[in-house]
Amino acid sequence: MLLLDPAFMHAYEHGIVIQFADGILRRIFPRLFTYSADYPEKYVI
Amino acid sequence: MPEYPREEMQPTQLNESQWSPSPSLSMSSAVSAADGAMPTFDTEPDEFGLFRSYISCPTFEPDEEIPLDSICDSEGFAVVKVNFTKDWSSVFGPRSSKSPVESANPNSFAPFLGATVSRLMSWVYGGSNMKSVTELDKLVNDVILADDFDRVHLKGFSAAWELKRLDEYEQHTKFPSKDGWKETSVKIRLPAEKAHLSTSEEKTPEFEVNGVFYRPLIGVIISAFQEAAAETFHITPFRLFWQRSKDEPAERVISELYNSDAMIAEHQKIQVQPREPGCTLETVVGAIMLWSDSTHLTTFGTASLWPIYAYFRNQSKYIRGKPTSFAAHHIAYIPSVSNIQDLSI
Repeated sequence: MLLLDPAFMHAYEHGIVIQFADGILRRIFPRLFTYSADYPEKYVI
Repeated sequence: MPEYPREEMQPTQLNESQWSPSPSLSMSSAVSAADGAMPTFDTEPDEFGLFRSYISCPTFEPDEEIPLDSICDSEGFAVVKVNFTKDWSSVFGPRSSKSPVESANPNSFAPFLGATVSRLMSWVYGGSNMKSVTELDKLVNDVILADDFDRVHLKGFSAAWELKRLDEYEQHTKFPSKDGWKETSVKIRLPAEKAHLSTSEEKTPEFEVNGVFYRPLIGVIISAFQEAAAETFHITPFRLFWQRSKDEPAERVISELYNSDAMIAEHQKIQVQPREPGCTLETVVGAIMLWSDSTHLTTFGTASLWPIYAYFRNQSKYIRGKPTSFAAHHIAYIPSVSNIQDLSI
């Protein structure tokens, strides 16, 4: 659980404000979605 | 690839610099078949009869910017220069993505002593390892004709010495901490032989794995959404429908995470949860997917790496799946463990 550090957990709960490439500030809520398969270069989803 | 209208697939139609594969969004509030009373924002069906049904009004339409040649490949297609192409080294972190050649900082030519040698060595190891006519062009244009090329710096040049310098540099720095890389150790529990099933996991032998390199996720998320490639990120999920004709009911189509139920459910959950005090910003789901696979680095020899990488599912699979889009963000490297035998009890 190396990656789920306090900073990430805070962002998970409260979101994190990021200025997007289009210049607009948005609040991002990181969520982990899983899809396990081999060969990421052969995505179907 | 059902979302894109057929006649626009013809290469002859590609004279305009930007090709828009998405249907125009009509902002009239319509009631979608799947949603009952929930108001949705529906797009006009495209030539395939596909239309999108947004649950909240999208503020940004990434597919407008995507030229045809970035999602499929044919010799006849006009190639449009897109601004979200990334450097290969961007997968290791935002700061290391600045290659020595681009950076004005003289110290960034490390491990080489100057721009000339750095450019030359980048040429040798960059591009194709079969030096072709194209590679020769690069040698002349990118190395010899570069403004900071100076033949004085090549006095006493020795390739073997420069390679030694490169090897030593790699050994000392590994992953630069300025890019957010951290080194740590992880303790894992080992299988306990002859132990009874009721034995608690706490009593099993513990093994410490050293030399685990990782980058905290937050930094990765921030840099991913800030870089130019985020212009291809879908930040508002939608349902995709297909309707053969006006008289027939619309059929749900799922092709990406951002038109799946899981993403819509999460989006709605975030919309209804209490806002942060004083925050009026748009809330967006940053969909992360973690992958891991061991990989060989050389055709001959044993050099290998076991990275954990993150992809952002807000991005279309057609972009993510292209190796040249460098959509993967390296998160961690799993070290290989060789001395686990010593621990057998």
